[in-house]
Amino acid sequence: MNTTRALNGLFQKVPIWVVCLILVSPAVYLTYALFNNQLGPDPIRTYERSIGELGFKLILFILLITPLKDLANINLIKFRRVFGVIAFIYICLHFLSYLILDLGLNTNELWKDILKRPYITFGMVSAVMMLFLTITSNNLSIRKLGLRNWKHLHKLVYVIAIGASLHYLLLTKTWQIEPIIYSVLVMVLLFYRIISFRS
Amino acid sequence: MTIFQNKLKYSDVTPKKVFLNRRQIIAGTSAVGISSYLPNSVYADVLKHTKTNYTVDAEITSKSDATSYNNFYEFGTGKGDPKNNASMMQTSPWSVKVNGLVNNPGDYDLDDLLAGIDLEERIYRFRCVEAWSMVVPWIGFSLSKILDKVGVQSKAKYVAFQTLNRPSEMVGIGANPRFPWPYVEGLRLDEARNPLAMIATGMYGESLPNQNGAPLRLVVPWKYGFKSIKSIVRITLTDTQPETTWNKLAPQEYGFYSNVNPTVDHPRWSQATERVIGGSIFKLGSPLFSGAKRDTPMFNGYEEEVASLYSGMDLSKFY
Repeated sequence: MNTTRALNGLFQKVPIWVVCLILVSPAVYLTYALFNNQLGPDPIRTYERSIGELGFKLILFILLITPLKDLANINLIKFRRVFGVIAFIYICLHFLSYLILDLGLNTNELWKDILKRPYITFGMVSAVMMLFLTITSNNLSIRKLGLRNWKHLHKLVYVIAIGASLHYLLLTKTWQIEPIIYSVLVMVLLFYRIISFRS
Repeated sequence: MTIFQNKLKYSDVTPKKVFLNRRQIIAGTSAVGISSYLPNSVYADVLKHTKTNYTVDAEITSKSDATSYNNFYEFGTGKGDPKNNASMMQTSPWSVKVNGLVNNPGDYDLDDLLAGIDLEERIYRFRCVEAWSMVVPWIGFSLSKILDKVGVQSKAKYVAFQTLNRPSEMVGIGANPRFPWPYVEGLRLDEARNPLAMIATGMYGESLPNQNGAPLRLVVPWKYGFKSIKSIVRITLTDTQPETTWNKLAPQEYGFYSNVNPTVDHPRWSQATERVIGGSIFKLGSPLFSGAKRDTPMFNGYEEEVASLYSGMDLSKFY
């Protein structure tokens, strides 16, 4: 397993800020393109969807870190926190684009949407949980909560992933392939964790 | 506001394809025949038409947006899929079956169906149920002209329409086998008789691109876009309310009427506002973001012309 050793060695050398820059660059590009009218015929929808989907991809990647270590011996745990924080940034931009561009900052409409439309309810609940995980994603919180409690709390990432799947599935006009793929991936990763937790 | 009359038929228009072929012959024999290998949609025919007073006080959507941002699930569910995939569809020859409660049923060749009908340009608002909108200069005529031609019997109360169902040329059909193909739509006869309801054979001065429903489609500007069925192959007059595709798929979300109504929300989103296709987020002299959003008017702005069709009806029940 020389390649995995080399790979892990490389990951240990890569500074976190480099990973940060790489992960943030799609959001910077999309926002730049939005402000310069380069997002095609339906810029609001394109921005909202693209940024949301990228956020979901990052959440999926976070769930992949443990199986990658268990099954392929690839160690990315060093980057888990930064992935989480950046996923939260994407979801924030997703929410802000909906609130500002779509709803025109109309908070009445926002509350109506949250209460009336299940896909928005699931999305908002997941986003609020992400907020909690982001606030507690520092060493001080681990010390204050105790490692065991902190670990339990951060298992919420699975609930967030399920919420995000429902958010996406219930959004489309018919059964479309992308939300189904995302949801199946979440189920597989969740199933893996349940199995490995038992054994 | 008729500017000029003409007695030319739809088929008299010189297709740009032939036009280009002629040039290729002039240019050199090696070029002859190449055009027959190119997809149909590359060529659009210029259509002779008269201008009308049907216009709206808003900017016309750019032709490139109106022909590249489409819902036509027969070619895929992505907005860009129809443009990428629709060139496979053969629109010539084209025949339309007219049946049911009509005096002159039969399979009409497109030229025969359109014979003697003058084309006119109408600029209409187009509002999709997904809360986006365009302004499109259609070319066509009132649907009632076709109804008069085929002779509607007095018992008829509804008009049903069907889209072409040809999986070999429409890649979205095979890709989505659970969708109840073929796509069907319908109108109440008095709705179909409203002068605003039109059959379009062109847009932006030219014949319809395949992705916009060539060679003929319905345009009902006061209803959500999915009512404006594309690439029509069957028109049936009936005395019972016909099935409509989106109603079959999700009856609680899409009713038979599907009139544009800002006060009746779609279960999953508000219909009070719409995203203007091609609208810019930043527009000089207007409030931030307002260029890309606008309030949706009742019946998409055609309240005066169509509200009487629904007097006494509870529009939140008959959505």
